[in-house]
Amino acid sequence: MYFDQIAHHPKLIAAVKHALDSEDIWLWSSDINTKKEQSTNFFSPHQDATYAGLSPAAQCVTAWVALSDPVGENEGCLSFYPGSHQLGQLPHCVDKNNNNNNNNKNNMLSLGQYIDATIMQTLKSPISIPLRAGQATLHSFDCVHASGPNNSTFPRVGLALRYMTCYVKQTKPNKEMATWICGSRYPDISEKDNNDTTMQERAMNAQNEELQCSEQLCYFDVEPRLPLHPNEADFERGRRAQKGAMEREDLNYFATPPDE
Amino acid sequence: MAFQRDGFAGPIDIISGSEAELALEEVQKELSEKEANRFKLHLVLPCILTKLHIILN
Repeated sequence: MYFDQIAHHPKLIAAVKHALDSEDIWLWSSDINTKKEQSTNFFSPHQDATYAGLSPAAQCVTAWVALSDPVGENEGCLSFYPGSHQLGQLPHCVDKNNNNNNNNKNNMLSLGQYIDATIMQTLKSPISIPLRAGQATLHSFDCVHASGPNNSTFPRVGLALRYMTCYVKQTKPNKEMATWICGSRYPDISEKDNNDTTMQERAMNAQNEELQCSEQLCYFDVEPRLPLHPNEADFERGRRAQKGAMEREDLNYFATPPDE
Repeated sequence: MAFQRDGFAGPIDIISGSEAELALEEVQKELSEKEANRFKLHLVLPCILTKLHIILN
């Protein structure tokens, strides 16, 4: 079971389409999310929208698929603050070196970001959702969520997949790459402008980097898909594309945070 | 729907426990000291890239 199959899994995509109320779904980014056994590391309450630069955030959703078993409260499962997605973007404090606050020392977020206690006190109590391997949660990019330490004797591992509709724009300066999942529209490109080939064909064509550059998409390049029987040159081309895409995503993510 | 009201939903059954176990085996080959691995391409999988790296080097 490769990640590509999980990212395109019909059950997962059906849930994402339902949550976003859209037939045009793209995958923005992914990561393997691990907490080692007996780890005191945690993710402080935060909104995924804060540094992603994607707008509107309400049309973005994170799917978190449990790979280890179980992922319960003892293992540091995700907990969510009900209704917090309706508050819009909340201010986040940055503590990159985790030295402003002793309670933040083991915060695993890239910038050590956290939401101030005075705001947290106004939110409803969080709800933890324990998972068995193969189960997933979905949460809006605006939903405040967190996860605690892994007190178990095995690593807690999940796959975080971040989906968006075709109407989402990247507001930060560097053009990023997105993976087509389903539907007939490019991000920010009308159906009228790209109805000459199917999205599958265009995604396949994008394996050629020159073609990809000539697409002139406003906010995202299309992730190149490898041919059915890729050779070493195809893999190398994919590896270069991935490296470049991640560099651009990092440039955007670590650009001046909105609250600095 | 709970997602619209609360901003989250779950648990949702996606893959079987045995399929998750297979994926976990692939993941464990990729885990770094940083405890997190971000990636873009979902067909060019991290595990395939590792194999390719071995082939090319």
